[in-house]
Amino acid sequence: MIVAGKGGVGKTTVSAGLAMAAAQIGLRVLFVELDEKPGAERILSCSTPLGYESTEIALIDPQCGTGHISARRITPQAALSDYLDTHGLGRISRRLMKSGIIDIIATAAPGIDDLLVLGKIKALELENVADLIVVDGPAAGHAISMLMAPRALHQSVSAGPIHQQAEDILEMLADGLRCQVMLVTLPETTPVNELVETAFAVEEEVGVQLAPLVINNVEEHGVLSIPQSLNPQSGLVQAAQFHNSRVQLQTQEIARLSQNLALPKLTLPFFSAMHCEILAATLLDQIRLLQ
Amino acid sequence: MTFNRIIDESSIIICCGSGGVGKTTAAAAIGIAAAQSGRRVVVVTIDPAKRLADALGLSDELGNEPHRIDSSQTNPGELWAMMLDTQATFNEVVCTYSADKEQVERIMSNRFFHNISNNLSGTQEYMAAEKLFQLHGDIRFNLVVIDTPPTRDALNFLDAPSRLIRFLDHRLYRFLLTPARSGLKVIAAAMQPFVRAIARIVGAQALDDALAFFRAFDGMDEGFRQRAVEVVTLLRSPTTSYVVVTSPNLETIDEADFFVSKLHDEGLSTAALIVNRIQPSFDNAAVDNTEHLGSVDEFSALQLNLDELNERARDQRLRVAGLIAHVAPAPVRFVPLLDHDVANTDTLGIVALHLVSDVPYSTDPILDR
Repeated sequence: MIVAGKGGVGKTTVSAGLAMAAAQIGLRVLFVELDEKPGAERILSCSTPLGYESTEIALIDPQCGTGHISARRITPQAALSDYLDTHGLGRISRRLMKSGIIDIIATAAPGIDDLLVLGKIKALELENVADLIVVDGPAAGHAISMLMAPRALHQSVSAGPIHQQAEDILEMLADGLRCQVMLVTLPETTPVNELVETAFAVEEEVGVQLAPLVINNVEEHGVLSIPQSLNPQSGLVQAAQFHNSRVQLQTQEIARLSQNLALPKLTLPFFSAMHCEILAATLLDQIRLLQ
Repeated sequence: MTFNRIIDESSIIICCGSGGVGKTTAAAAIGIAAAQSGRRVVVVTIDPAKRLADALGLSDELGNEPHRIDSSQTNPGELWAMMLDTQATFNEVVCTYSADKEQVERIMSNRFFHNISNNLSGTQEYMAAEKLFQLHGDIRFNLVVIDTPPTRDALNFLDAPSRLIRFLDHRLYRFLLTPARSGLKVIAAAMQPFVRAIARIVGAQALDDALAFFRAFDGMDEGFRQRAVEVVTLLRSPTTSYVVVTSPNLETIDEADFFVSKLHDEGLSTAALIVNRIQPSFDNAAVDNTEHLGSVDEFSALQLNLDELNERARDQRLRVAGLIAHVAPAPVRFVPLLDHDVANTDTLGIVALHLVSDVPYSTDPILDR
């Protein structure tokens, strides 16, 4: 499951919550972080930074039973080094890395860094290292170019290992049973616009199946009725008016999203302090509602 | 230094922060505030999401050239806006430093060159800095406000000019060019394993494109290097102000904090901090319930809402307290979460008002703990 969405929508939080939810129903989960920012460690309460090799996440939730989460961070550099090692170029790989040639390689064949990262994820999937791999993907704009990379390289590099790699990834992306993309958004104008654009690009141009959408930070309480007798200048009334206009804006944007995209939706309430376990439980409830 | 003085006295304002915090909106609002203060300001956005265009209601009109925005919000100064076109800017730079038309043509038709413009990390930042340099020298404007691209590495913007030079001046390319210069068509023996490895990864065609590019580029590096030095000098000038933008969520606060440290390590300081989309707080004075005609449930729902919003407001202010201490004595501006979308110059004007109004941060009742 590749989780994508524009910056600030809570993509990493939702990814971690989804991984936790899967562990709560007893699945073996691999959480993959693509970003170098340290957000995931905090949400997963992981004391050491995630690296290329996988780390076990200690789960405090007794519900999990046999479920567990391991986590790793896959950067393009590490994926390239791994790729060179497994293709008999191990000896040269360190020198290549040190000389900064990765920049030239990535520029000569744009998208190769994305391809190598997806290739590593595909290899992990084929090795059956987990029942579910949750990928905290790149921000929305980059997510599309990342998912487009295999097709572009499949065409531009006409033979050899990269061509084969691209072909295998395309096969995985096209198979809805193996791979889906989960888009995350906020119920606000710009994020909704971007989500709709991304959804069409992912489905039509890349051909990946979309999972239910996640709408984050939705106000839990509906419109409040404000008695006329109250002083309109009072904090009570001002706060209620503020709340009501936020709710109206959110309702309007969620309706617009539904008009544009006929996909099931999972809505998450505004959490002021994020607890991964609570988020996971909410996600599971929402998923059961869909069924 | 107050925020108003930053707007009045800077010649360049660079808005930095992670994606999704409203940098583009902040840059546009600073532009409006500066125009209202009488400045001739140009706002440059490099965000591919065209958000500035949306916010200014001009989705199709922004090109690689500044466009004047006509609005009552921009009096008595002038507000111009433009969207950076990385490729077009790079083309301009190549034209400036090439020896002749043939060299320009060889470079422009090269696939690797287009890949550099569109895919090499740091190129977009460098071209933004280059555009900044051009606009800074343009007599039509006396303030340039720029919205930086969302980058993984916060310092990409400062580092980009030297990174591009390092790339163009790469050892590999020096090695590869040596035989070409001496008229031999063989590649230096020492480089063969490298070249084979690269060819194996990217394919022979892509490698040929790369080599052809470096060959065509030969001779232009001196001009590029010179310009990069000038651009970096401008980025470090005392009238260039770095304004850090954050939203009140933990991830973006961490990133803003990281950026402030990086600026400090570079010997630069944060001129101001903008905390965007912060939950406003509301007066919690007891309301006389005797006049209240609604049900008890209705009343308690209102009270619950007020308490919840004020708690959010308090949490968010506590979260940014460390960052505020970190940027001190730089001014901090709070832009509240608005109950409507920022989608035109009038709503941008409201944001601008929050930036320049001199309400000190501690008069907020929630903060007087």
